Amino acid sequence: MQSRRFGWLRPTFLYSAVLLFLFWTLAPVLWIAIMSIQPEINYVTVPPNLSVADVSLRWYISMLAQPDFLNSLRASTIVATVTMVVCLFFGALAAYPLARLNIPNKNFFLGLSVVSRMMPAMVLIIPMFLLLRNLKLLDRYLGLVIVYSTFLLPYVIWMLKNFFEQVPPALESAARMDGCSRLGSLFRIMIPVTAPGIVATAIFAFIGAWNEFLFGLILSTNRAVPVTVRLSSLVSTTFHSDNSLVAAAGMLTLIPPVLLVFVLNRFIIRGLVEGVKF
Amino acid sequence: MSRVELRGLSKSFGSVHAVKQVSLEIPDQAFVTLLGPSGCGKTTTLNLIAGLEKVTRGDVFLDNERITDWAPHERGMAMVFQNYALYPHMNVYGNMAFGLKLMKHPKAQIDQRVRHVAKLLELEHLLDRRISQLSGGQQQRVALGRAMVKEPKVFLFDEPLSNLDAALRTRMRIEIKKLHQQLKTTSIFVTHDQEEAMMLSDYIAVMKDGDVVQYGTAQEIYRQPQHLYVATFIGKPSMGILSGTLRVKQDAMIFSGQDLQLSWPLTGVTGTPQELPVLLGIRAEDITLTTPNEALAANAFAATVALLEPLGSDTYVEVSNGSSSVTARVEPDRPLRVGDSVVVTVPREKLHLFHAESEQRLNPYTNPTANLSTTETGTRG
Amino acid sequence: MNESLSTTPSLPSAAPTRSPGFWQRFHRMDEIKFGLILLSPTALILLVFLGIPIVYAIVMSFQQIELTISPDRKWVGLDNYAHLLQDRIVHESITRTLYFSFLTIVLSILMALGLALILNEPFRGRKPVRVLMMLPWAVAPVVGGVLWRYVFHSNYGLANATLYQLGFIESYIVWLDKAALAISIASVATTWKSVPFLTLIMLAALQGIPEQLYRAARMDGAGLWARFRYVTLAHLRNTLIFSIVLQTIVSLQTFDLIFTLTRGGPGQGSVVLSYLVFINAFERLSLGRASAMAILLAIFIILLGSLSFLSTMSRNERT
Repeated sequence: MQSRRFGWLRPTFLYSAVLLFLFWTLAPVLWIAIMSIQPEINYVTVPPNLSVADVSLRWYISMLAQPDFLNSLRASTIVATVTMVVCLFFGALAAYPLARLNIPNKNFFLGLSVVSRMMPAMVLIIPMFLLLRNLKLLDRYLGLVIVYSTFLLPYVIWMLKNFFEQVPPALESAARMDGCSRLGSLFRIMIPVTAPGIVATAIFAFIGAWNEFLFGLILSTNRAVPVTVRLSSLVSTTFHSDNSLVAAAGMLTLIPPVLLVFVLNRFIIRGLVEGVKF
Repeated sequence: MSRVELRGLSKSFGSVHAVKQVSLEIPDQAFVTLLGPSGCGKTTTLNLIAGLEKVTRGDVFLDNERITDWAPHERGMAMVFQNYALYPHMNVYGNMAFGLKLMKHPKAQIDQRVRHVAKLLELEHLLDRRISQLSGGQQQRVALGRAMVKEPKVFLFDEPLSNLDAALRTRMRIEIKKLHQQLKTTSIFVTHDQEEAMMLSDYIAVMKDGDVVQYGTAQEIYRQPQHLYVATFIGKPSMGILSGTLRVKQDAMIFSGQDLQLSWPLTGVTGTPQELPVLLGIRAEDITLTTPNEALAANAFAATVALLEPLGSDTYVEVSNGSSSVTARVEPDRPLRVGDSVVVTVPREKLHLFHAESEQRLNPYTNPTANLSTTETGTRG
Repeated sequence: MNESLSTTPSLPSAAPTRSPGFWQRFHRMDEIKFGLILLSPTALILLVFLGIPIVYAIVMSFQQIELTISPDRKWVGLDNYAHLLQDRIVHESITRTLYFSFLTIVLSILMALGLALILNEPFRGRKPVRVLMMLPWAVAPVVGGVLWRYVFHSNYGLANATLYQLGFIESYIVWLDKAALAISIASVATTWKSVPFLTLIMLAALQGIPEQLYRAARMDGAGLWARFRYVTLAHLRNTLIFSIVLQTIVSLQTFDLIFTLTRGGPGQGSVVLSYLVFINAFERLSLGRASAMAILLAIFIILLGSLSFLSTMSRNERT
């Protein structure tokens, strides 16, 4: 390995730093992964007495057998997916003019979108609750989709705008010479060309919706409870349920987003970095 | 027939006037270049012709039809872009067929046209490649092909060769020229490279700050630049310029520059002698350098060699008399060294005179300040 | 060679056509009109579901709403805000939040910077490391709280088990029952979640530094630390500012993670500002106060964000 800028970076130092960091990063997840496949007794003892023989998936099965939890998984999946689609659609519609077209007061809209990204959830939660109650959308998938989309749209718009801006304007000029209408050039040229960025944004939106907690906590009670809320109700400071069950529930909650990130990793890295540029 | 006419074309972006009242006539089958440095408005003008930008004022006519408000694809024009602007998510075939597909041509005809053009441009074996797999030159040919399949009435070129390396550029220039000879389609070409413009064009419009400074054939632009800007922009190396005053007398014209004086005989000048601040221009190939022996001729001055640029086919010699310097072109094997004394001859037929303030061309044989004419013999500059 | 390109004479080539009609008008539509049409649906959604709630929250912040007492709303002007600024509980929470933010910022930026520097060097296994390190970003903050709760669990936590096995402690420590420790652990957990993103943007910035600058610096005789300071850090200035501001905003908004980690405990020991808003809104049902607090938080965040935005913008223009 050639040493570049800082010649003192000896391999041993580097590799041990990397290993240490990896341990720190993965340990929490690995720990509850282990907890989720071991009976509680094994890890409650001092010191823990883990055994390969006791490995079992029964806590996962048990969790998935609980209708509440299963419903929550379904709710999260549907809400996250629909939110992703809604955000992409309306986000692209807004991002395109902001990126390309010469609209009056463009800077005003841009500034607004920056500010709206910084709005803390706490400000919105009470009014949202009242609004959804009036629309009779409490505890409904649609209600969650609306709320999540509202919260995620500013980010999605910003990310898509950055991706659109990277496409050379000449490409759209060429399309117009070829006979594309402005709208056509958005769908036939812009979107296919920025596909990787759109995938990154989509993943971001999905994960953002899946991981959302506060709104789900307040706005849903029964039918449309996201899995994150279910998980938190399992973890209680006063009542100790079977911790392996909780661990299994935790794993089930975190696996979808983590899987997405690992599999579609290339898109995410580019997307996050590009999407944040000022 | 594809005659393009621009009448009073203007485009402003807010307070910036990118194109000011441009009026040009581009004859059928002509190759016309809009030439100028970046920011002169040539690309904006091209975009106005193409319909990619909306005019602020003025009109574009195609065969006497007013197309000013027409959408780009309705105008029957095709454009080749500087950065090729090829669709990266389609292969070569897709890129070339896209326009025809949008126009709803039948598939068979699209296929036939695309393959025909691909053959002309030697792209047949690349038809199913992705754009990213092509070299710069290949991409440029695909861009050309995309324009050609549409069989447009007018080709528009927006600095298409600027991104290519020198060798490729020269080759592509020849390709484009041959193509024009073959297809005879009216073409409007934008570039900042004056060599390119000279080589390719029937007519050149030299632009500066949104105006067309001069419009004429390549030869006219080169031989009779009407403005100092045109004179110094065209020609490599740049035209040598000497500043001084010009006095037109009864029988002679005298130029007094910095530490030099040149004069040429005139006949038939009437009127009172006048004096004008002028800029004298002379091209490198029109200067003669001789070794000093006899007395200095009236149309020559003494100088020393300051710099030699041996290019192999010619040698360019920068000569200076201390305060003025010009560059002359000499035979490659001429034995000159830095510091040598030479005599610089400026022949009357080859010189250009420009008013020092207005920078407009002056006719050397007319006294510009008195309205009189001369009768004179000899060739006009 | 003067062959025509098309052998079938039937279809017109790209000859200019002139057919008015809806689509033609759409084609030629003004750029401005088109842009506004595209923008309007989204703008409408955001106006209704974002704009109106914000306005509503602002209105509520000027009212006294104690739903545990009565459903009435009384207009009290700036009373809520005044009360906030004098409330001892708020002050304590601010102190906690300051400590929490500071710790989070320092830890996360140092870690991210170190990791970015390391990832910038080519080494075997770099790619998988880059992928693996993204994991905390993907995990929900709520889940993050659960994870770290189990890491620092008094009975079966990973920390206790590891320390015990390594012989550093003789009996399990109860971590989360001391306020200072609880907040510190919350900080560690938040750092854990923040490092991936911060590392990515720092890495991107590092990769944008031209190699030649380091060479030029070495020619000028700059030593290791000098090169780091004048080349690396100089180029990271914008990113560092952005990171600090971002982490501050993150700290101010952290709620989910603390909710599952400590439920605000021990007692009120880890109640940071966001959590305090939650308590006021949903436990004490003091909607007016909660809104006022949330609005103040929002204003502060927006100010911070705008300052950083402007600062980096002006820097970009100058370079």
